[in-house]
Amino acid sequence: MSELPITADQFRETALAIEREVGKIIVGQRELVRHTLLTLLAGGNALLEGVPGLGKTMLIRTLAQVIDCTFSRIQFTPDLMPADIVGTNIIVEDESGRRAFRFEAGPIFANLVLADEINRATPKTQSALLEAMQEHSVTVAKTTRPLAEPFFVLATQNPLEMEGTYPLPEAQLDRFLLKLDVPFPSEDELVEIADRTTGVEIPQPQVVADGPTIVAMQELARAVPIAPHVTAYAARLLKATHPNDGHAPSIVRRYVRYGASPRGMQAMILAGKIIALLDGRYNVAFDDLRAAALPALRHRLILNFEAQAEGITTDEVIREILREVVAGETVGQKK
Amino acid sequence: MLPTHSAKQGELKELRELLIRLGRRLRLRDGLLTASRTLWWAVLAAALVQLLARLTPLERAWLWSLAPFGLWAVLVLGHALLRPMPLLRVARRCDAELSLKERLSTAVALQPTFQPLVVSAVEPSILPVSHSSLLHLQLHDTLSTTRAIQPRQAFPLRVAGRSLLLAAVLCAATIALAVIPNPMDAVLQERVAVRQAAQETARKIEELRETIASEDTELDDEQRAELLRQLAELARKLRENPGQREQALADLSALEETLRRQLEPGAEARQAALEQLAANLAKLAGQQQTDEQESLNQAAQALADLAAQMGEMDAAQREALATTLQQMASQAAATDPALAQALSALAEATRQGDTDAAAQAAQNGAQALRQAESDLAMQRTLARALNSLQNGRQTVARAGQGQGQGQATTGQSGQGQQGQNQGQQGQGQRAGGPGGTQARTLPPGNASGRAQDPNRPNKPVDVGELPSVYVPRERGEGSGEEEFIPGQEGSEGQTETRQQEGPLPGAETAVLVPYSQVYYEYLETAAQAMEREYIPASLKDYVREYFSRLEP
Repeated sequence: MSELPITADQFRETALAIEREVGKIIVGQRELVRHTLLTLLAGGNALLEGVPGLGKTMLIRTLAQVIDCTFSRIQFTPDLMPADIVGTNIIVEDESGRRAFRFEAGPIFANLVLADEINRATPKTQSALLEAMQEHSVTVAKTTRPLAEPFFVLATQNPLEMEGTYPLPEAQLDRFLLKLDVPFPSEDELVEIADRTTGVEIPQPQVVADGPTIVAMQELARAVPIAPHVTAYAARLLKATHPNDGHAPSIVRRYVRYGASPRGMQAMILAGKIIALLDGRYNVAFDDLRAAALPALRHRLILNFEAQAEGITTDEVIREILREVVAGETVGQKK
Repeated sequence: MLPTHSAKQGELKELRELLIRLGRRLRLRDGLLTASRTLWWAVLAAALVQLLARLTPLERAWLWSLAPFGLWAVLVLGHALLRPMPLLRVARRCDAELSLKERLSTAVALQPTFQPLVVSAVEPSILPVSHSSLLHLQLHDTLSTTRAIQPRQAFPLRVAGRSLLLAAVLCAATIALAVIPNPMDAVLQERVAVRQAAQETARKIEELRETIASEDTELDDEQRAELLRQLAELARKLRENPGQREQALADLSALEETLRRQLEPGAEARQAALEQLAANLAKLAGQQQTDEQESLNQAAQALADLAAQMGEMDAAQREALATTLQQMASQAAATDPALAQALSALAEATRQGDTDAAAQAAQNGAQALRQAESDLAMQRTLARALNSLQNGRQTVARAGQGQGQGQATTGQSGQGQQGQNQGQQGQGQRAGGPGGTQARTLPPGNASGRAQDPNRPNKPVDVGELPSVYVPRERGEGSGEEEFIPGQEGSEGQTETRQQEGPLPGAETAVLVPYSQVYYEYLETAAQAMEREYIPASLKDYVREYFSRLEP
């Protein structure tokens, strides 16, 4: 393997530049922007959950603009078919009158894809997207076609209006590296949004990176060293989400039906590596894992009925796990 | 651009040195913190020792109080100096306490230089270049961060304030316990005095033993060896005595009783009778009177001379000699039957003019005299040993009790009390009781009754009201003179004759003696009686309580 064409300093500068440029359009939502960027640089996909009108489409459109990548948006509806996403073969007639099949690429063939309201499509259509997310390729008419790199899907879910939707099954939720909650803007942010979007001058973000740079950054992020005891801490955090684990906190034993899969640990570590680089370090710290734990694990925990009845959220459970599982050992177990 | 191998090695070496320096500082800080946290344990243990010393006699309580501190110091030092603290642990603690974001621990864990310390260190040759580059960047970043750490500022020495406060409170309590007079000190002083008295008694017994062993007397070898063995055993027990008065008294009394049983009741009378007989025989044989020691040998020679002179005597002279010898035989019959038989045979041979029979009888008589001399020598030795044991017993009994008064009265009543005891023994045995010790152990003059107020039978009177106690004077020929009382054998008990060597308390000076002077003697007598006789436990308690109330 040859030396990467990007250094750690360039990584940090580029990432911060992307954040800065996106921040020109997206008011507030710093954590959302940071986590979206983390997902992109980790080579994963993100699931956003928030009410309409919070700038989800604007976020990914701006991101695509800043990194000079192609962008497409797919509005998921119940009648959306897989071919509407991945594309299909159509019969075309050339100048000589001969007819032949030609593959007409779907909107999935873009670097950044916004799958809006993914839970409104049927499972069949959802799985077509999820296969593309996992394999970074699509198969149409027995022909596998790779997707362009970087490939990044940002799927959204509307927590309201759940009637007539098809909630993503747990196995498919697990494919998303991070699940990001989109908070409602504060009053100041709303004022700022109003000023930016209703004035004469619309801010324009600059291009600060390109696709190959993003791919190089993805490779560099994976090379960040992580000490064995830090990895072990990630493993302990993950194990603590399982109610049958001996070190699981009492809240997990009481409210969690199923814990997170190993993908959750991978997500924490990958995100932790990028956080370390963005922080100007070359190693993963416990704090990096803790910072990534909520978005990496919140969609992988399945709570039981008691938790739903008592209004316990996965975020509360994860915060309790972070409190109880310290870097060295499990501090205490409440019975 | 990857660094050169030597440059990287230099950085690693520097990092190692920095870590070692930080580790030393952490060790020092941990040791101090542990010491301040655990000091109160040692102080608590010392306080408990002092408390225990107030509940039970504990010799060298201060030394025992210091022992927990010594143990604590050893444990703290051992924990601080010997506790394993590998570099990875140092690095992780530095990361955690200085918020280094796992820089140090990652460097230690992943750099191959630390591989002997960390199993999971990664071999760089198998790593991709980008990873190696980041590893070096990480090392460089860690090194620059670590260089900025000043151990003294980063890890200031800390102490556990609350624990130290607790230790201070406990320390004050310990000092108070140590300073406030301890009632057990008197018990300990008494033990020391008893131990010293026991040692002194043991020394005297050893001296006596050596004297007996070196004497060239007519003692039977077997009896002498047994006596020496018993004395040696007693001396050993006394030397090993840790200060227990009861045990020392029991040891002394046990041998004393054994020797007393071996003491023949009529030994003194027998000796006097034999000496009188020897003098008479010498006079008969026309010999010069010699000293008492040689009188028996002279008597044996006198018997031989008489047998030899018989051939030159006429019938009348032989008859007169025979009559005299027969009278002597009658006199000796009570004290020495063998000698009496020999004298009687000599008288008969003299009367019949049988020189051969007379010579044989004279020889038998001489042999009987030698045997008597040996027996008497043994009796004298036994009496001497007995006397020494009695003195030792009194020394031990008085050791540590009423030291001030005891010293003031020792010169006055020491010998007299001894004589009083022995006088009591004689008195009791004259009564012909089954056990000679009962009379000996009873306090004379029913003193226990006098210690109570007649108007309040169950309430002991204030000892301050009775500075003196009336001690009845024994009737006798004279105070301090030897008194021989012949024993009488009977079916009901054994009759013994005891020697009264000293006057009774108050005999030399006045009838009234100080109360405190006789108290301990009575106490000792009662204690011995309780040891040797079967007395119900409730009555023992009653007696002890009685004496404790009377204690001056």
